[in-house]
Amino acid sequence: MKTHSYPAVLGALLALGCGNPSVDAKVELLGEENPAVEPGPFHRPGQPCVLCHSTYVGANPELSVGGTIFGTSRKRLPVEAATVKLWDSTGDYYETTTNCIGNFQVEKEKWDPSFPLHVEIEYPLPGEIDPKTGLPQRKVANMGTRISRDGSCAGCHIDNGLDISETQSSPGRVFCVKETAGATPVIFPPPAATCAGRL
Amino acid sequence: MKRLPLVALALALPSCGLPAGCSGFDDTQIAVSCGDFDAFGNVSAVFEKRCGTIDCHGSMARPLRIYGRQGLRKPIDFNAAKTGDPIQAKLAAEVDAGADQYYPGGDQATTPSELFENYRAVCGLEPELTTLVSQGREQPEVLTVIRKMRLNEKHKGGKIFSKGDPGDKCITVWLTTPKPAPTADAGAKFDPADCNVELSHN
Repeated sequence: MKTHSYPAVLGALLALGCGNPSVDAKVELLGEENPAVEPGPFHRPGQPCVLCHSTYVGANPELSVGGTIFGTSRKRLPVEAATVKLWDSTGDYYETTTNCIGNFQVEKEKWDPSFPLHVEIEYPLPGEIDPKTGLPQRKVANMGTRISRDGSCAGCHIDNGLDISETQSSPGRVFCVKETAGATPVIFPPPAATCAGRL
Repeated sequence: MKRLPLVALALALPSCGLPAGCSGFDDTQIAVSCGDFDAFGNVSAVFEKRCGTIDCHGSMARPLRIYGRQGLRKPIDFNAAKTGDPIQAKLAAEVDAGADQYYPGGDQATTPSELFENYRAVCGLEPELTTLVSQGREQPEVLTVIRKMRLNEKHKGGKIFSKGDPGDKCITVWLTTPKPAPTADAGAKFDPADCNVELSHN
């Protein structure tokens, strides 16, 4: 996967005089790369992918949708092998799967949807085995609203790095299971030590 | 006024008196005639569902800012509410599901204050034109909000409704239906059926 150095790309754009200070400020806030993770599909979990993987910043590949799926609303643990199912406003469908750090991406070259989008996540529920397949039971979570225009999950679903991420202006991270008081918590496993990504 | 009682809305009108451009605003209050606030709940729900996602009008940056259960929440400082700030205490008192459920997608329903803010956003966007529309002196499509949702004018969010769709009728009929007089028969009231049809769609 090819990537650009964001500061270099931004510098080039500024030199051309076509900067977008709003986007520049958001990119700046993302900070530097984690030195333990190569730029690629496993980097920057929980960050707004399309902000940089866009025509403006130019990180490759250009994405139409991208994000990170977490297990529950109250624990910052990603989900591997969740299927992200997307429908656009014309009824066109695309699906992709999360990697070991919970990241998924939709390359614009492969699917350039017409917004708004409807999204579902089919995820493996820890501790429950499907008797027919012997594999983890899979459940489906629906997003409560449409995605109107921002292909970055984290554009709205802001990951503040804490276990509890909901605020008055963000629903918090994208999660599969909403934790409720009194209910038995669902514990998703942490990423494997061999995973190329880091939280 | 013949059709609707005037609804006084505190609207901050931009003051563009400075040569360098628009800066500051005054606190002029103007009277606006708009749809019936008592019937606005279903209409607000349509705005919340179709326009108020956080990546669109559920954003502090939008002139037409929509609050609601599934989108942006009207800011409340719960700590200040606890220490006796009367404004924050009033807002916090509307949150009956608990402060930890007051977030986009949380269990807390749209509050009365959020409903009023939405009403003010819709009616106050173009107050003079809205008044003319509600009085039947102009057609709804003179309003930017209507033109944009029909994509008769450039709209980043694309076409939300075509003319005559349930959501379109919900909003335009509400805008042009006068608040019923206390003695009016039931037929004069705004019928939210189209809003409910729109809300039943995914």
